[in-house]
Amino acid sequence: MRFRFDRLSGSLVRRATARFLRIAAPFVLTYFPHPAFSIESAQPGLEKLFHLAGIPGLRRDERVNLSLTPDGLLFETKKVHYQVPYVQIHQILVLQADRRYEGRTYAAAVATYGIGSLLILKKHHVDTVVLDYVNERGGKMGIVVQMEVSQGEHFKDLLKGRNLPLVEPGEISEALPKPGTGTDVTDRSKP
Amino acid sequence: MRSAFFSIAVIASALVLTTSATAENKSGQKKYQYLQVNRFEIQQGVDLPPDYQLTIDEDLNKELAKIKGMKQVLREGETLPEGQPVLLVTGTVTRYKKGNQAARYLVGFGAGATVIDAHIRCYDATTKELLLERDVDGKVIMGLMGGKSEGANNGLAKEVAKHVKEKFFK
Repeated sequence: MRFRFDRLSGSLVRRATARFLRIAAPFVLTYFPHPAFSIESAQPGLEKLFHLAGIPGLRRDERVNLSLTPDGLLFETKKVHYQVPYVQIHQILVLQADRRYEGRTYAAAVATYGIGSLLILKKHHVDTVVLDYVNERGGKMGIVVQMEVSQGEHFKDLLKGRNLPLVEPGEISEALPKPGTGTDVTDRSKP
Repeated sequence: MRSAFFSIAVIASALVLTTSATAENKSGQKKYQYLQVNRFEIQQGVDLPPDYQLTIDEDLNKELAKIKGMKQVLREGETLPEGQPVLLVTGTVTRYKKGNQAARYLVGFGAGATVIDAHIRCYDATTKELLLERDVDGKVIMGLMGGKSEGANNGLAKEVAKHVKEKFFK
């Protein structure tokens, strides 16, 4: 028996199928782990990191590339080139964090008549890198960027290769006090 | 008549220039053009993530640098300029509520709000005289798709900058 699709054109079955596919596609693409099918393609090296704070001239959540030059860590976009010399780095902390993609959720919500907004429940695991350094005048500075977990592992390997002060979350030094270790408010805030 | 008006205008402008040139403003306070911000401390029992602490510092520096009349915002550890009054801003984070972006977006009505409360103090860097003491906060209650929780840092920084501006730069 031949099955012809054009018989179903405009039918309730076809419209229902199309609607189901429209709703299901973003969920499947988001949850499916294989890189060839997922929305997020793997980034080679340390590219397209999310800038959270600290790089002059960059806004929050702007994408930035990171490379390790012979002199220091270089943060680059088309407009901004900002280098932190290795000698000025005090410590680098890599934390596990979650991130939500609002743009993707918004697109899914529009495509699926609002149902796709449930994508907001999906957390994306990332590594947050906290770079603690001093400027040329000895002032305390910091940069916070987020990267994919695979990039985080790659970054840690690169840091170990250069003997940079990589700190695990449990061993945070005085420059960045571990939460909950402060003393009384009055004493700590006095100059 | 015309020359009288001219002389009044000259005297008035001279007075204005003289007043603004002095190192003190109307309320008798020193006129600060340099400001130093120390990294905020975290009160015992408050579980503020380390990246938030650093983000508050960076946002604070950015917001304070926007104030008109500010020559330079110095970081903690930098040498103070000689012969210039410097305002020192310190703070302690007293409360942190993590919040939930999904709850903010899907539930609303204040559910899932991210809150950071802090207590700030402003001193004269030389005399260590306490000049300002305030409780400030940064909140994310709503926003695009519920709003990013990190926005609370920026909200806090903006409120600190607002208080400093009102007290010392108006």
